[in-house]
Amino acid sequence: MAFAPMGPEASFFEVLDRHRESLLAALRRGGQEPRSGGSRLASSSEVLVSIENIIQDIITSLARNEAPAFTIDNRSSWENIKFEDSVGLQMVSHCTTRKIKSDSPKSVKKFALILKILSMIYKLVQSNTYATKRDIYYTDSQLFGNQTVVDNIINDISCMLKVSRRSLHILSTSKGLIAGNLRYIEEDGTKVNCTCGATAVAVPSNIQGIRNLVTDAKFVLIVEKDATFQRLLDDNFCNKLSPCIMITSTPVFQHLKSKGKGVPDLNTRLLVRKLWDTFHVPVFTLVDADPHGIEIMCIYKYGSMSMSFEAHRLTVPAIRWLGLLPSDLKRLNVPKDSLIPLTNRDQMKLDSILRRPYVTCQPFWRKEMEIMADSKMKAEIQALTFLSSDYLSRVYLPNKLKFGGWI
Amino acid sequence: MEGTAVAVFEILRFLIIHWKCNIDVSKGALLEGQLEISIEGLHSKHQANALHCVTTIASAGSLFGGMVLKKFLKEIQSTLPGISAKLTWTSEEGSYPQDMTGVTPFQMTFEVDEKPRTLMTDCLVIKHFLRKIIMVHPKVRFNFSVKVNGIFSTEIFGVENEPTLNLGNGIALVVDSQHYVSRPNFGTIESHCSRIHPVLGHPVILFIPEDVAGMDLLGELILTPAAALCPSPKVSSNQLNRISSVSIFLYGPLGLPLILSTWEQPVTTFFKDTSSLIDWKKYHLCIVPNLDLKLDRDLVLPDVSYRAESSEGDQSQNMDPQGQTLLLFLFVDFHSAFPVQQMEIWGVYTLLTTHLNAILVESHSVVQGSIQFTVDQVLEQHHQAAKAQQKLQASLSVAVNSIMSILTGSTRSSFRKMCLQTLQAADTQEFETKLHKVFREITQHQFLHHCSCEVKQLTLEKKDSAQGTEDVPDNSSRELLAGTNGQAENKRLKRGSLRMEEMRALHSARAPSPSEAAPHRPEATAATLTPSGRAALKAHGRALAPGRVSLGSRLEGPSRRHQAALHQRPGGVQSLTPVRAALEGTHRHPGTSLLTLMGFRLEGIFPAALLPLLLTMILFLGPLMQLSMDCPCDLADGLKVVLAPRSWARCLTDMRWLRNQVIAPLTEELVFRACMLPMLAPCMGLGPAVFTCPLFFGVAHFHHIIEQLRFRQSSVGNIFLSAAFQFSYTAVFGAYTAFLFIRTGHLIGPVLCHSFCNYMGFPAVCAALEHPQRRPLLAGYALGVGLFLLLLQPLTDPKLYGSLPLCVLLERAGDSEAPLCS
Repeated sequence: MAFAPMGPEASFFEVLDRHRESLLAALRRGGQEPRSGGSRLASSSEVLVSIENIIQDIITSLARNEAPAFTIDNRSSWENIKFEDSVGLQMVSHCTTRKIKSDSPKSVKKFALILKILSMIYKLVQSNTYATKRDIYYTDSQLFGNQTVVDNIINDISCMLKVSRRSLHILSTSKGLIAGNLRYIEEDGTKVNCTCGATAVAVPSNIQGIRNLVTDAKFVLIVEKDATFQRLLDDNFCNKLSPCIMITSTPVFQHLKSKGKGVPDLNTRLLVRKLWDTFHVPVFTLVDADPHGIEIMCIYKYGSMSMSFEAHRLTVPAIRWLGLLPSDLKRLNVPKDSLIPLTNRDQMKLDSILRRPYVTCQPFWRKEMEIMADSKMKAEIQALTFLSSDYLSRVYLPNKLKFGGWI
Repeated sequence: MEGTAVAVFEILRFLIIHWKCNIDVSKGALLEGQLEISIEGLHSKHQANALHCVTTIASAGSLFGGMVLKKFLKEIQSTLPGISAKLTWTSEEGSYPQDMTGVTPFQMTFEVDEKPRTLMTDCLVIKHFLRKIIMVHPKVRFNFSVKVNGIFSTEIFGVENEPTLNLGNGIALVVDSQHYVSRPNFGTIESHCSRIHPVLGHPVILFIPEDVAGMDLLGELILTPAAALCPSPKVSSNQLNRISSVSIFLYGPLGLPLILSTWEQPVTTFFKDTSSLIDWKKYHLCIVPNLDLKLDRDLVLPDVSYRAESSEGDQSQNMDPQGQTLLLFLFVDFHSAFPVQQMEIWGVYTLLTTHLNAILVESHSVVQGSIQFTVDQVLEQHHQAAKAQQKLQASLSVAVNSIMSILTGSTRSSFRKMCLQTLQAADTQEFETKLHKVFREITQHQFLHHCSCEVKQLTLEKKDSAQGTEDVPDNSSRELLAGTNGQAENKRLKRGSLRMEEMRALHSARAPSPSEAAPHRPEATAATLTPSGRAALKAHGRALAPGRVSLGSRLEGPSRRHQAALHQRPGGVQSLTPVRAALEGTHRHPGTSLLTLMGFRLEGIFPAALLPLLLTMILFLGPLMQLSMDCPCDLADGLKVVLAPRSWARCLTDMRWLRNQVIAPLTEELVFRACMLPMLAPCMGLGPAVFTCPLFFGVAHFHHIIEQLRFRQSSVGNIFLSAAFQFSYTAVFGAYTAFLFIRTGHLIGPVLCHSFCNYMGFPAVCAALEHPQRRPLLAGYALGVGLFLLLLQPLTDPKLYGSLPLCVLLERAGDSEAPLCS
């Protein structure tokens, strides 16, 4: 590469390369890699036919004098989720379902709304146009009430038709940023080069459509917070440890009421997955040493319960936890006053993560979480700046990468 | 209404009373059977322009098991003096031996001369009477046939297969609205809900005014209102329909229609005054009596009917002539302490038909309160249903529009064809209308099914709860009877006769001494309460039973009779009366309302708060001394800390402090003292109650064992040992607070003592024995215990705390010896 900035000497990547080898070996051992996510995308006509079939079912049941109902897999309980080390959280094949009936006072509204959004999707697919979830909400905001209702129904429809959201011609705005050694061509032919200095490129909204990805990157680093991402860019981290790729997903304030913090958006997750599928370079996460950071990492790695029906397209089980490990705090003697005590909510979250199925196959993660639970303290990545202002990019990350400090 | 109709009424009424009294009323079973009524009119030979009518009432099939006809004949003839008809009986006792089949078909005939015109009205009136009976006796069928000069017409009255709402007490209400309102026939099936959803109000006891109380009623008249809205045939989904008419149906005991003696003027004065039943202004309605009662309609004729006119408030809004009809059923029932005789019920009928107006006027405020409450509930229920309906409509149109949009937008002709075929529609327009219709029908059907299911469940629950409550008093009284054998019977009889005399005396003496009468007729006083009193009564009803339904059902059937019995005989079944009184009545005695029984009262509250606490502190003299000796700060500093608002704030935000010092004492005392003692004491006397009650308290602390066993905090033996220890000292402490509760009649004292003891914990005797200043400390211990024993009686002297409600209660119950009360 002509303009490739000078990275560290080759010996720096020895451990990383070995890690990559082991990952590839594991992949080979597991037989053929799991069905590539993007490969089976429902065509427009398939989507149209499945919507028509649903309508036909409704009309037939009406003709039989039965109240029509939708049957949707129940994705809100852990009983319907199975964990597979190579895929992440998946729906079990014979999961319990819930019915959305048209004749019960409680669900009749939801029934009608599902039909309404189905008809909108039908139009979108027919005319080959795309709309965001927000667009759909604003077509009749009075009827929908709030955005969450629309989001949930779209997820339900996606689950019911077994078609990805993309195939439903529904977009979600990308919130993610990407920087580093990566070039690709978007569906419409735009050439994108992420390899430039202090600015990052937005994650494209049509991940399935990007082609010709080229990279020399030795690793991909997922950064939880936008602020840290910017900081690393400013410190010229990309060039210092070149070649590499950095990705962040600015928190999407999706469920302001319930969570307070965001979860990674779909496009960023799809991109990470795509990078892994294409290049099989190691993927690391840099998150806060708090339960929420762990949750975000778990979503990248194993997927979430509500999107479990699409897990095989979204998860990257090869992801490793690079930092900030709760054990690092002690090891590096991070000053106590930069730590934050866990709140009750944090405690509850931590407990719930510890109970999840995937923790059993991650003994080191478990240990780290137990350390956090014991110390009752959490820390943000910024805590490292107490040691020195560029400690993170100059010392912490290079050392971790060089000596394999991930788990 | 002439001879024939009157005679038929009276005979039917008597028949049903007899019938009902013969089958066991307490089972609450519905009457079942078929009666034939036929009138045959022929031109009279004696009188010109008159018909000689022969009326036959006969039973078809088995009706009265084991009824002795001759006795019946005698009785009915004595009660039907006003009928100038010739009454003959044909019993076929000979051909059907009673002991073999147990079935006695019978037939009775009477003859009378009447004018043709009168006969016609009579027939109509009889038909309405029959309709009204089957509304509440849905399993009875009447075959009514008339034959005049060879022209024969017959009609069958029966609603056997229609949905009903079981009201208990052997009657059930037919809930199909077609019997109550006429609905014009629309071409489409737009009908909303063909069922009415009656709401049962809470029963109120009617007060019989003095001037009509000449008869010896050994029971109470209880009025239970039930209300329902008959939906208007027009479904207006956007706006709530307004009430356009009100129909009132009066039913007497055993669900027999009350035909007022002044039948020609159906509106008695009580009902003439439209505001006497309900405060219509609350609903922005102006109600006027509706005198336009058409006899020839095929509906159940209301006894009283009102029409709504637009109130002054909104003149602009024109009243919809086909708005909703509010149906109001007033069931007046008779309950007595003793098995009700049929003659007695007959007497009640006579009383009600002649004096209903006066009785209702006398009990005006309770009746109004109960009815208003019921109507409120009905309207609220309807409002909810209408809202759900609106939501359904809105959702359906969204769904249909979406389907249409997909269908019309589809480019696949096979799909469109298939859809159209499925609904057998020719084009999309027809498809849309059909889709809409089918969709609505199905969902609405399900929707309505849903709500009618609720009604059914309601009845079931009602039955269950009724049985549940019935069983308790039944069993216990039976046990009691068995236990005390014949003696109890004798006593009971004696008491019964005494009671009768008492009642007579009461009737005569009521005027001069109302205060004396008051305790015997608690509901009477309630009846004359001010509105606030009524509200309290209502609130009491709500608080006592988990809901209106169970209250209503609790008072149904035999349980209601028991209740009546208990009201009637304060000194009756000794073990039950006070319990019931404690459970039931805020209006039992002025001084023994539920709250005062539970120790919530103001009289003597200051000594009650201070003296028991002082007594406890004296007992804890030793530990207190120990505490002050071990305290690092001196008294002044300590006081400063105690009085500082900051320390209080800290206490109040500390959950453990709140639990130990406030919540636990309050709740434990409330449950184990305030709620338990008023029930235990009347059953077993005060002394045993003091020692029984803490056992519950001790057992309630056993859960610590489970906790400790689960977490294996120490060896099993130790756990049980400590549990036994804890049980014993909580029991001792419980006995002490129970003693305090009974002696002071206040809850506050035990609560404060409990809080204090929780703070002190169990005296650290071992630490005291090894204390450097052992001697004065041990002296303090001894002195404390000594002083405590010395002061225990004088400091808890009941005289200090005013009259004790529990003692008053026991005294009234005849348990005058209670030693703790003095």
